[in-house]
Amino acid sequence: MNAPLYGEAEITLIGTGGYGESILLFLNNEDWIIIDSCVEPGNNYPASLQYLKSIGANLDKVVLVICTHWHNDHIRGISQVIKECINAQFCFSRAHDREKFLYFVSSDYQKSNYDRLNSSSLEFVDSLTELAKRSGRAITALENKILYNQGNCHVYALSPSEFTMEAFDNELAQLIPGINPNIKAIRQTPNARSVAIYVKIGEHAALLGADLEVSSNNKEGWLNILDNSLVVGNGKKASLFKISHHGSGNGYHERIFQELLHPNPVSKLTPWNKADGLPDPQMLGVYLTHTDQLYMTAPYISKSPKKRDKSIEKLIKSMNYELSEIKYKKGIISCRIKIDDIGDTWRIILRENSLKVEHD
Amino acid sequence: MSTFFNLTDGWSKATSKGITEIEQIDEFVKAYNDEDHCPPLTPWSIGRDSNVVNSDFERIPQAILYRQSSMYDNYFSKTQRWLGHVTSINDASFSAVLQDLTAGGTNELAEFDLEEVSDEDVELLQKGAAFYWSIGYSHENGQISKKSIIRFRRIPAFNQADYDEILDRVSELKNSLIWD
Repeated sequence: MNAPLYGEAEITLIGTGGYGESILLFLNNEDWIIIDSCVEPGNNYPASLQYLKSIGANLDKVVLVICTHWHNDHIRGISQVIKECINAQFCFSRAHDREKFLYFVSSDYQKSNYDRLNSSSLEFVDSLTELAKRSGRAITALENKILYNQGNCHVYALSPSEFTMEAFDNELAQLIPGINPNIKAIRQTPNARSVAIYVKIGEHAALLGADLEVSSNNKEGWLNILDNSLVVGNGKKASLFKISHHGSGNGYHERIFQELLHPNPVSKLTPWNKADGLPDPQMLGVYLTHTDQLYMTAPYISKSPKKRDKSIEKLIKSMNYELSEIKYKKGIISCRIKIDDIGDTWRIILRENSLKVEHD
Repeated sequence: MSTFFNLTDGWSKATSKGITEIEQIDEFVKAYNDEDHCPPLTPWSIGRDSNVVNSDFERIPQAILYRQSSMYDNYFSKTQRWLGHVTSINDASFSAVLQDLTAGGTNELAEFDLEEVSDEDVELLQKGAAFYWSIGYSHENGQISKKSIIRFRRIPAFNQADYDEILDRVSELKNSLIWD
């Protein structure tokens, strides 16, 4: 696959099954933006960088790296991205109280001295440390904030809301005294702090839902965007949608399709094959009522045990343990469009395991 | 098995100088509890790291038991090991994501009965807690049996040096980055 042509913009979604997702934007004929990061287990190299290298893109042209939230499936390998993309700024949501926020992540990071796997903030602090080496810019993501503004291409954060971040401030105040080296820090509302993004590309637009969910309170989540956003609404609709939270029921609201998206939008998602798995087949049916352009980075993967030495498989079975493998299944969905051609529609390029979802 | 003989030698040296030479016993017990050399096979050592055994008197029985059992060729075979993180706890079981320490590659999901957690480890069972899980055939005192061992990790509380590092890092990040 080649790099986008002059005059084209690109939005590429990479999914890996249970190991995360990453999005790449190509805007204004020269700039790349990377949103979130995922790696192949055992390889640990960011899929986004692998993709850029595969199409011959120059990593020096990555101007911004956005971390939508700190879940492992969105942050693994992001410090390597920051390290290799030497001109990139780093954008993430954080508590208002910068010092308290840094104290929290630094304390959590300290656990890595004893057990790297017990620190949830490892990638995050490594990213900040890489950025600090070059005195880079740390950008706070917050609703209605413009994150990129070049030519006729603009990127806005739609979330998190002020209300959500005030709640994060309070949560940190409770978490810090109880930092326990033996356990991973469990933050209560990471999906509410997800950075949903609106991308304006000439006359076209895209809505990238991260893992944002629908809350019962219209001061946060999707309802806040629908009721209070200064960026979207008023007829500014998107023709491409990265469905939020792996197509889960709690990431869906029909008003998103009615008020924020054109009819029959190109919609894409990454499945999540941990626990019960996402998306629920019923939800796929719901999405298909809104669009016949629905794409997934990989098909459903049925649960099965991991293949290993037969004698060990036999031993596990004889002891009545039921283990299911979190399978790695990578897929890439690239969408390209001519920035200044108002009549142009998204061209879809499916790679590896990605597929179009059809009605049964 | 070289570790086994070294341990036995260590015991001989320790006993020849008397059990007051607690340092040798410490080394002995530490090696005995070393995940990479000899998985714990006794109720005393399951779920216990040498650095949290506070009393010297508590250490001695483990070493004595090991010396007694070392008359036989005791070892674990066909082992498979994982590092797990607890994802949820239910009434009678807990769920975890497992990282394969034997073969690497993809992760797995599993559910365990709470009964499998030793009394000493129950207090460590929390969402987010890390544990080792080993299965294999135990060859103990001439008998072979299937074993499944769960040991929760214990990490010491932060000390003054840790807090100094934390504050230094906060200061470094706050001052070196351009924040907006």
